[in-house]
Amino acid sequence: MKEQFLFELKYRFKRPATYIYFGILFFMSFIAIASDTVQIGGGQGQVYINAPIVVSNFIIILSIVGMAISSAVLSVPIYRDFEHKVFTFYYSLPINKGGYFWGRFLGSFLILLFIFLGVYLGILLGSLMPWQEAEKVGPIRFIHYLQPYLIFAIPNLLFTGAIFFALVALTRNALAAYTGNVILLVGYLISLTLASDLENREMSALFDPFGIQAANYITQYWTIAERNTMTIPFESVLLYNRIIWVSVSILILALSFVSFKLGIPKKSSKKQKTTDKVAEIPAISLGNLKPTQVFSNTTLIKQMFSLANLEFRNIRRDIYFIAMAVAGIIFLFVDGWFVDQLFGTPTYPVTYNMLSIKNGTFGLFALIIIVFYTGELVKRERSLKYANFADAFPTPNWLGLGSKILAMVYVSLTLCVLVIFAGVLVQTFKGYFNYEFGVYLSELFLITFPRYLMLVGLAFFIQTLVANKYLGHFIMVLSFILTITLNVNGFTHNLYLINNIPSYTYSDMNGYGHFVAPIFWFSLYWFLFSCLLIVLSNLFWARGAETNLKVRFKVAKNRFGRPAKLAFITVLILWIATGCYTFYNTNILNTYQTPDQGNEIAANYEKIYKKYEGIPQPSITDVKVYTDIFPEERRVAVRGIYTMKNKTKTAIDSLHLIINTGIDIKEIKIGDKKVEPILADAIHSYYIYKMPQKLKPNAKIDLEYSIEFDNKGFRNNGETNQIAANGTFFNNGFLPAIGYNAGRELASQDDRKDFDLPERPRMPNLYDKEARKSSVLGDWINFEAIVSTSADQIAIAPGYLEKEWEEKDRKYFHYKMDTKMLNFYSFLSARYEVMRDKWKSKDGKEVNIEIFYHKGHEYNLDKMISGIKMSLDYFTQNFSSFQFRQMRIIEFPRYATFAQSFPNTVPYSESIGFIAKVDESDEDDLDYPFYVTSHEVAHQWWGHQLVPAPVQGATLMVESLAQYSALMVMKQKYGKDKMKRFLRYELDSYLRGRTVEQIKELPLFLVENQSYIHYRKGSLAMYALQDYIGEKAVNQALSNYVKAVGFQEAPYTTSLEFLKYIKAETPDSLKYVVEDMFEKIILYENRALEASYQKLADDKYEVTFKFSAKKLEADSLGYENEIKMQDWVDIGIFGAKKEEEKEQIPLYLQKHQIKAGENTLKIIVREKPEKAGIDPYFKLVDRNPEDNTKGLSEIL
Amino acid sequence: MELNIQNLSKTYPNGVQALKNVSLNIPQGMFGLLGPNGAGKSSLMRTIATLQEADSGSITIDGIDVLKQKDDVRKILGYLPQEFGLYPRVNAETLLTHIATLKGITNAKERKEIVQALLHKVNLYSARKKNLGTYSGGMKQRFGIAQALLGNPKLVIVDEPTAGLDPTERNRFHNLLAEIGENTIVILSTHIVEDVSTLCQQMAIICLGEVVVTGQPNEIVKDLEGKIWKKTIEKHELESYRDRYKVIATNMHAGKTVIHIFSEEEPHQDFVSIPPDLEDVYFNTIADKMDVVTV
Repeated sequence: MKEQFLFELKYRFKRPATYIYFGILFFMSFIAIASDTVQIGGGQGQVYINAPIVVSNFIIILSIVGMAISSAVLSVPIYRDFEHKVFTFYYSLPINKGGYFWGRFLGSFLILLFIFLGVYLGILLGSLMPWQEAEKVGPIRFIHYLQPYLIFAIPNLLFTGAIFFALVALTRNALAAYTGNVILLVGYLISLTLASDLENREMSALFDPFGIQAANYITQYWTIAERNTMTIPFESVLLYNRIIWVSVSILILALSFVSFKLGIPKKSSKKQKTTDKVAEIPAISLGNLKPTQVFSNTTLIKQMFSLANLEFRNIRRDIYFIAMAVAGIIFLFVDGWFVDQLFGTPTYPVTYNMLSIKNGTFGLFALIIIVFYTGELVKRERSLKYANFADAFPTPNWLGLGSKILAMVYVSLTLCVLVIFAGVLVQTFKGYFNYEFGVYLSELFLITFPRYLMLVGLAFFIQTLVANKYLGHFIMVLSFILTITLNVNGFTHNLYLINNIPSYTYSDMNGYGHFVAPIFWFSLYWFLFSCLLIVLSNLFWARGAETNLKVRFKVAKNRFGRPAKLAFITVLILWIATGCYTFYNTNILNTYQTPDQGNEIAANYEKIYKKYEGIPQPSITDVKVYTDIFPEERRVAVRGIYTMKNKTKTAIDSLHLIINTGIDIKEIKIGDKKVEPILADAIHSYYIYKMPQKLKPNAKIDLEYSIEFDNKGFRNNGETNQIAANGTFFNNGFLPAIGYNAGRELASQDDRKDFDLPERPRMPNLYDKEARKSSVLGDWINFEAIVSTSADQIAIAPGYLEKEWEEKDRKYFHYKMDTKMLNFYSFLSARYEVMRDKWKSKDGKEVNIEIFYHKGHEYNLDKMISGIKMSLDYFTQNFSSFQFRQMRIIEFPRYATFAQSFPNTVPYSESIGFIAKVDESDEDDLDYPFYVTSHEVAHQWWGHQLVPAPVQGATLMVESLAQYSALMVMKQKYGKDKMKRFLRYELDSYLRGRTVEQIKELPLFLVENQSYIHYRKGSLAMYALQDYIGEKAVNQALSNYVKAVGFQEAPYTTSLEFLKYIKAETPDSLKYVVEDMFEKIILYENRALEASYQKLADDKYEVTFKFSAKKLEADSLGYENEIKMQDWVDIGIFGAKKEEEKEQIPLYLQKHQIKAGENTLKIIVREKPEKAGIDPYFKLVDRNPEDNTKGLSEIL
Repeated sequence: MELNIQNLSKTYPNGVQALKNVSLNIPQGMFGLLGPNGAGKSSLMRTIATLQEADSGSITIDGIDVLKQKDDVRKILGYLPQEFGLYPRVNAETLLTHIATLKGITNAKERKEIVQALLHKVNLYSARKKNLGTYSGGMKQRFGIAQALLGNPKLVIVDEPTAGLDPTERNRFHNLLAEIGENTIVILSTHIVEDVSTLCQQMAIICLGEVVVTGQPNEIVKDLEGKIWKKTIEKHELESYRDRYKVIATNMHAGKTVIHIFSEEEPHQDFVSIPPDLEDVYFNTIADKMDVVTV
């Protein structure tokens, strides 16, 4: 055995393949660490690029992705003897089976372990590169590398290695290992997708053979500090997982050892050789057979097609192709089944969602199929040595080349058809029959298909040039890496990013809309480029024995005759012309800007104009706008009048305006006088006008402007989606604004460093008095708008419709707001259907409800209406009266996926509720159209009555309160039990959010617009608060608060004031809850330990419940310290859920004052108990809420 | 019709000069190209078969410039390389029919006739429905012959065609070649001298890229008459004989070593004069170029 082992080692260490594999792994991890181009499982935000968790993730992920290497290495040692027919004598040598089998296995396995050290070398070198920022690189500790190697790398490689080794040892066929590889990988990825549900995590952690689920399960809520310092503890689920899979691996090896035989294999019946029979030759003289030979172009073309069929048939029958296609379909189906879920709730399987699956895992399969089979086709005759004579056939080059390209065209078409097939199938199974074949066909055959063809062209050209097929594949991969690298490094023009076209979004409302032109021109550009490559391939087409490049160039020159020249020059001219036209559109009609250039402009804006921040400027008090929307032309003309008042104490002599780059300024008048700018900086959007006369304190003057925004041609990326043929939605960010706006400054600390800008707080300090002079949404204004649009559309702006008329084939709408509102308004226009309803308040006030929606999106209108009504009921009864007489929801295309509350006007994306398919009978489904609606209605209070100052903690009063309000309405409608599921999502999002924090986590009252805090933690904190001090008390506090500060002028309110109102309603014994929830970062580790019950004599049950509790306080980086605990925590006992109950009512639910450590409680209940739990509704932030509840055992 | 090769030279990128100033006139009929392994036979044949470029020189056939007008040559060419492969998952009849199409035989009836006839001729008819992957080496070789003869080639180039064939098959193949050789140029390369002597009207010996002898086999043999001598010696004496004489061949006969030497006059009385055959010519010529060790 030793001899076999050493032989294997020596042999392997001399093989270049060993070092190539090592190099590949090194390269992958190096690139992933050293640049942002490739993401493997790296650190985000404050996590070190070489943090221990990153090391673990890398080795786990690469041991899965590197399965191909494992199969290549472990399939060889025994197969080698069969491949080279060494076995014919080798097995007759006096070797023993054990030594041979185990020696070869261990030798190769050791080599495999060596190869995977490449991952570590990549991490080490990558993190030592000079361009790495010092604070992003953690200390290098041996244990961080050793431990994951022992618990992940070795068991994972043993598992895959054992499988592949066994497969080849038993079948003596390398193909078995490759097929096994594909099946294992595909099967694994599918099971991952299926197990991705929140509830299955623990199960899948146990049964994932590679341990990645277990690692993720353990580390999912790890804080930055933990990520940076800890290795994954080898215990609990991970320990069991490793024991299971190492045992499985050893079992596989042992079984295959038993079945392995050192002998000459029997020939399988399938591979039987044809026997050679000697037969009498009929007396045929070849001389008499003189078939006519025809070499006309028509026969050649016919031949090309029949050849193409032959090639295609070969591919179709290929086992790998079938395997990959089947896997691709499975992925399409799985992705299609689960596409576009929010809160675990599905949407209707509309066609565009079915189409999005083609870019998922299937996209990768399609890419591999195309690149791989193009290589196969180009090289097939050569690798079979069939070319040795076939190259001398009297056929032109283009015949062979054309047939192969045609075969790949068939392959590409097949891939497209597969997507349609899977999409229609999913739609049918889900009972959705609105197949939009027009969308299917145009997406797949007009957008995807040309891109596949381009890939074919590129692969074809490369394979034609290089002699080695694998080198060709490698160059293809390099070209992908190059493209990605260029892209992330700010070289973003699609004219040189190979096979890139601008990103686009299909919307039910607007179809492909304004994306048609850029898609068309860039697709044509790349299509012509691939034609050019094919013409060149024809010139360099390898024929005959020459491999020398110089000679091939000479040959190509000879082939460059008239027809070739004609084809080449025609395609070249077309390609260049298309490129020029595209360039004219993207760079001349529009401005092309790299992200770096954009950053530079933002940096210079700050450098040049920061000095004007805070200088006295007038405030807007009245807005009257005349907005003309020309949707088909994607043009908007606005004439607006701002009445401005000098609210400062000094006279103002100049007006500073911010007008977006690209907006055409027609005219500016100040107080009826036309003025010219004394500074006009279109690049930095900054303009200064001299006031005709100084504006004295408290004096008013009108600013009248006339601007136009036009979309000319098309862009490289970033089309202005706000103005669309059907579905325009833009807000006053498009219109001139007064004064320096700090919001336009460069925000990212890294970027600021690049431009030598000082560090900048994410938000002004909570105690910053200066910042309280304005609100998050500007000043209070009077508003009036006249909006016009095309005759078939409805245009909407905040306010009440005063008048509606038609003029010159255009529709006009006059909106006027009769109360003050914030300087935050939007304009929308589309071909809408309208649903109308009314809501009446208790005191008889009527509110008109309107939903403007896209025809066909009727699914959830009722839920939205009921959401509005129930919300208005709840909010008016509990907070304050509603300031408006109408509430409108207006659908807009899914170019953005949010809903946003403007005064009595809520633009609502088509993708976040309009097509949701909420099955109310399904316990798992959340009625998110209802919830989102309620949240947005709540903003009419939290944001439009009460507006905080733009300082730390501001979004607590906007988003957290809207979340709370929506939760209370939902609780009313769906009951407490359903809340548990929603809160579980919120808890999960919060815990995940804090692991990727970019700067630092803050308590709620200091939140700096961090969505995982103000939405997610906000929900949890507010829900817990109402649970502790009562819904009534919370509502009373909020009501007092909004009534006190609603519609206030500067200085605007802050979270300090909010807490004052909350604390006023909180009993002293629970003040700690408010502090924990809002002023600190507190985490609990509560766990049910043991639970049992005993039946008592009087048909009652005594439950004994043992549990542990722990309270931790985290600092901004997640360093946690255990603190004293003396807290009120829910203890609940649950029985069997009764059929008639809509939701489960606990047998017992009381708050107990719990100390840290182990606690035991005895509780008597009236019915038979099943489960007991500490904090069973996840009201506290607990990283392992699953272990809070435990089933009961009966003690007799 | 005649194939004319003028001053053909070719050097490979690795520095090996495969062809040195080769000039040959090849008339209709069978032409044998004899030479040891690596002599440049295959290079020459590939160049004539349009699959390799030459550095200098020219090849013409019937007014066609072979090096430039490749498409025209390919229309009249039948080529069987020394080494080739076949699609493993296609049967012989399908592939041969497919090749017939590529060779411009578009009439289905004619195509079927010629394919059937060739399958009979190379004795693959009974195995015609079997996938080529199951064929033995000899059967593959015969398939190669069949495809080379498809479509009335005026120029047939066969490189080591009988390698791997059993004696019966080899015989049959020779007959086949003789049959088509009547009004076609057939270039046959081999290192088996007997093949040339039995089949070819014209021949050339090529060694280290150069043509050393060319002419009719019997005429070439005539030149050596009276100059070949034979002696039976002990094995250990071989070295000393090599030093003293131009040993062109050594054979074993009944456990003893028999040497053939070249000498203008009787070298020693122990030597017996023998009538030369083509093999002696071959070994004599290449012995001038390289060290021949035959046992």
